[in-house]
Amino acid sequence: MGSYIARRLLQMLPVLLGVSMLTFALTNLLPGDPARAAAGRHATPQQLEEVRERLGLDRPLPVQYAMYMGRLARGDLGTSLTSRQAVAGELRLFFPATLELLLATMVIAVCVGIPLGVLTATRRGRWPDRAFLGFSYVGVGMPVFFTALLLQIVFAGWLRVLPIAGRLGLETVPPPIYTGIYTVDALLAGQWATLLDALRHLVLPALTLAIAGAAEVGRITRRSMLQALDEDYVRTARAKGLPERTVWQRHALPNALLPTTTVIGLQVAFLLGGTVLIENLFSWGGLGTYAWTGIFRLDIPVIMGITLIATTVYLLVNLGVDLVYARLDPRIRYE
Amino acid sequence: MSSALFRGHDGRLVAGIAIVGLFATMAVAPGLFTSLDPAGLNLEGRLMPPSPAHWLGTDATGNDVFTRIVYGARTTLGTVIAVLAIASLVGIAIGSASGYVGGWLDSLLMRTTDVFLAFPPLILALATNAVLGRGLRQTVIAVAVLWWPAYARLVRGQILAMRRQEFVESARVIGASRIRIIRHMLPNVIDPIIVRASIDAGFVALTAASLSFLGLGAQPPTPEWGRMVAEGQTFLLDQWWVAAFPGVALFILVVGFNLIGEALGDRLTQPWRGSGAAVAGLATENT
Amino acid sequence: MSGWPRLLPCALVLIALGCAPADERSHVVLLTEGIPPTLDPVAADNSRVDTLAINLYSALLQYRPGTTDLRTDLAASWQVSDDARRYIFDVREDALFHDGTPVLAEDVKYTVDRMLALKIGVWAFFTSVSGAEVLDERRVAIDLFQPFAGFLSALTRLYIVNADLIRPNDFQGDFGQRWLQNHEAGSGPYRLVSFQPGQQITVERFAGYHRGWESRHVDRAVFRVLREEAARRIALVNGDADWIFVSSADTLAALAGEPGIRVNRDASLNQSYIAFNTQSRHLGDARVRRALALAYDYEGHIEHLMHGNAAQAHGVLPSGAECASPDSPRPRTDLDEARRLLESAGIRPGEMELTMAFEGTTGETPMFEIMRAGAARLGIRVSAVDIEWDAKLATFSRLETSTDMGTVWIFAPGPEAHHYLFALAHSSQAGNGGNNFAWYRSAAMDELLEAAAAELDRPLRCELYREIEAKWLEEMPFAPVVTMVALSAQREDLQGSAVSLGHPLTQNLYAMWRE
Repeated sequence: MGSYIARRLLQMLPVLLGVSMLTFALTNLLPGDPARAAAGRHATPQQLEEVRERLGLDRPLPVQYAMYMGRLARGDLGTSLTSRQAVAGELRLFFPATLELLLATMVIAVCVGIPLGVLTATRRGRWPDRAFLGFSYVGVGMPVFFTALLLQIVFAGWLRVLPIAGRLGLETVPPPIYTGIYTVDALLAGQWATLLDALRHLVLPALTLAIAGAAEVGRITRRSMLQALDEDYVRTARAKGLPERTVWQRHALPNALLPTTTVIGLQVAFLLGGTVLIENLFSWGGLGTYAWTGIFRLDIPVIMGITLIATTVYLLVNLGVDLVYARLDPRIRYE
Repeated sequence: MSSALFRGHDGRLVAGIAIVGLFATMAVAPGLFTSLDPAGLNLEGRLMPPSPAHWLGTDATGNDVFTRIVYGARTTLGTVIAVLAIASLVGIAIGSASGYVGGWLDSLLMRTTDVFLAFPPLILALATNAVLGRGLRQTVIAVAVLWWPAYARLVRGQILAMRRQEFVESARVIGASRIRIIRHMLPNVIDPIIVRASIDAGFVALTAASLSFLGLGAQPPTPEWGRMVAEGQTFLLDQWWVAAFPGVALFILVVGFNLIGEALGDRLTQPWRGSGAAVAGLATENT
Repeated sequence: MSGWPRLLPCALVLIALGCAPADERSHVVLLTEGIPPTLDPVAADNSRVDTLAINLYSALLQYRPGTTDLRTDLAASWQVSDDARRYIFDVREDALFHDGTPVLAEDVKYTVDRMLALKIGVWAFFTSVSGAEVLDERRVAIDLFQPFAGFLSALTRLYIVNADLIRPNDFQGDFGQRWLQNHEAGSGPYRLVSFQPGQQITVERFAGYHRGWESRHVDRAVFRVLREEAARRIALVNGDADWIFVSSADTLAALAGEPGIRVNRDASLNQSYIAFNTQSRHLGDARVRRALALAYDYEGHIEHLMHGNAAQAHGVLPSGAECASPDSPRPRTDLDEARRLLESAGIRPGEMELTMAFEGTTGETPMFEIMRAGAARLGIRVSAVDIEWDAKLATFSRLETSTDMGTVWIFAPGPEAHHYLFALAHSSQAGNGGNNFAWYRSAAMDELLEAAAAELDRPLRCELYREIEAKWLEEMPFAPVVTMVALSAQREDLQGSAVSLGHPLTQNLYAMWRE
């Protein structure tokens, strides 16, 4: 098992290298001049040249790339051209915000999606099944930006029960930073009021993302549950006279969860880079907002840093999914 | 070609085709639905509520929202078709080359798809769009960049499976050229691609609309649903119709696509298991 | 029994204490639409930076809130040399930086040197400054290359920084730009408490502020970014915010009816223009540019789009600008004349296609739509190039990438015509990050603009600007569109005038308090 993980980790390197090359090529094609972005709008041509030279922007692209990778090898993600802060430091600031949103989303999606899928599979064709199918079409078909606006209007605009945006109330002091995830930090510090406030702010953005997630997870669970219930080993179990509940729980569900795991993994990976819209709409200062401003301010080190971290997480999640497979399915063995 | 796919009765298929067909009619012949100009300017008649004259009200420039939705169907459907056409054509070219030639070319091409699939999708689309500039054509390319690897892998898988089949072996024995053999194999790839495209269509529409919502994509005055929602945001509390109806239109179209995709998908059941990357195209579902 | 009367006052005091909020100090929450790119006051030509700088920093001179009347701030007094090329300032003795050290002449010199070395941001207002000299501990001279009529008003944007605090934080000769990104080194009424990039900025009153805290002021304030206008509105109505920035006149109209909410329509000196690229293939002929200016529906913009919350320009200037004359021609729409002009230029309908750059994210799309619709009636097609400010600047930095038309706003530091017209139409401002998006290069215009800037006699100066205006309207490198009325809304218990004409879109907390 250990050697399998090591091999998989090693295989990630070429992919990461490829992603970094692609990003580097893309960002250097961006219209506009990163030296101008760094030097400011009134910089003289001479100042521009100085900045270009200092940042190495006057060197050929392959050299610039090699310089970047050299620094990366020493753990230095570079300095943002516009904020002049270390990219690694800014990522540490923004990444936990996105992670918090993502975890909350996945918790809702999984806790709602899997039971719904199982429930509807076992009541195939009856009203809970039909109702869920209807919901799943809505969930998957709704544009997230539209869902977000609707939820904001209803819960913050009309009912006034939840805050419209932000991560914390304005009077709430952020908890001490252990992880950067407000809910976790507040919990660790025992600040219950802060925890409650952070949770209240988390509800709407997480719900927006989780509606589609729950629909997708539920659909896959239902589908694979139905498939599993059709399989020989389930029939055998039934023939042995085991109670129906046991058949589902012991035999059908573990197998049905395999495809669900894949979908959950994909959702996590996707959300990591795909929260731009939601972060914009909910003023959630996370990776998405950081990427958005980075792209429009031509901030090459920022874009590089974000893609590298998001890709790394994506690959790790993929590995995690495969490992979960091995645990869930005794037929799969990794050496 | 694959008429077998569409044979037989399925309620989802009928409903889906009816929905998509309605929007397709709007796209092809908007004049059937409205006689108004989708891109005029009428400052005196801004933000009028729904009325017999303007079924769905007017927007911030005084244009009829219904008319803009009708013309917006052309933008969205055109985008979806263009993206899927580009993605599948690129996918066929790369996937068949990879699957048939094999060896180092296969490794190179597949590692390339790995790279694209490992890329955070929306960030890739944003960056591509930023590189190319704002506009509809640019968005089509940016979205197609997200989807082609999935098609390349799909085609490669089909080709690999077929290579071992008899008719290919015998063709090779009688000395047919590689190109001819590939041409022979391609029709068998079409069905899975159609199914895959029908599953993807809704997600493509959502992704493109999301980019437009962020201000990339179609530029004014071209009617585009995602952009219409974005422009209506300011008026959400009082003139809700400006943002709501384009959002609903997009939602209905996506449901229509998904109904078709699901019905066709069931007919050509694909195994869900396998490495995550094999279905990674689906990850772009809820931008 | 006898104990009761004596206890009564105590009981009343206790009740009063119990009823009063635990903290009686005045806390305010302000919601804005965008993130300041930095806290560095050298970038205060950007209104998002200025809104923080005016609270964190002090300048030598400042406007009285709501007016363009100058008063002393960090300077106790000033004198001008006879040739008007040297200004001497005496720094107030009681002025303190937030670290408790006094503001000295040396800090003023450092601020001037820093700006001249960096040549960014507010430097654009000070191109005539040659340097500064420390005369004694609290006496400093600023020297000019030539007399400059707009100098004193420009000083309101030169925020004095604490040299001793910045020097140790210099990074590779950047004059502390990296450090000032998220720190402050000011002597303003408020000090920075916390800065969460992209989210919120908290400031708190600085006890040692030289103008004191005798009257009522805001004690603590949070600036939070909320891009969506409907969301800002909901937050204000729900009581989660005390003041919000409003961009749409429709939102303002809706808020005007809400109980407990006051809407503000503050006159401003912000003027919008549409640049016509004089070097482009189609717009080289001044008649075509004038025709396009005549096609814009100014009245529709002011009456229907803004519900009257915008003002007509006077000639090429906002009405509140110095030398703006009520007799100057107002921008007008005249399609027949426009068609005649096009005909005389040999342009037939349907043969011209133009591109126009604008910032959709800051609400400029209607400006594009109105221009497009007007041009369409002349048979000219205009297509959209919707880009962010940074990208727009990059686009117009080189002629090859410039579009045919583009929107440009002038956020002037003072009412002098120079701040508008020089920044737009002087040849030195074309390309390389300047505002001359029209690539207008006229030796005669340059000469006039330079002469007007150096003319200290106001009537004579205004005469020169009349000449400039006439030439401008003839050549039409930029069409003046409308003068902005700054829109905002606040809860009724928030008092005071916050907006200053010379600091567009900024919130001066010191001039506000809570009832």
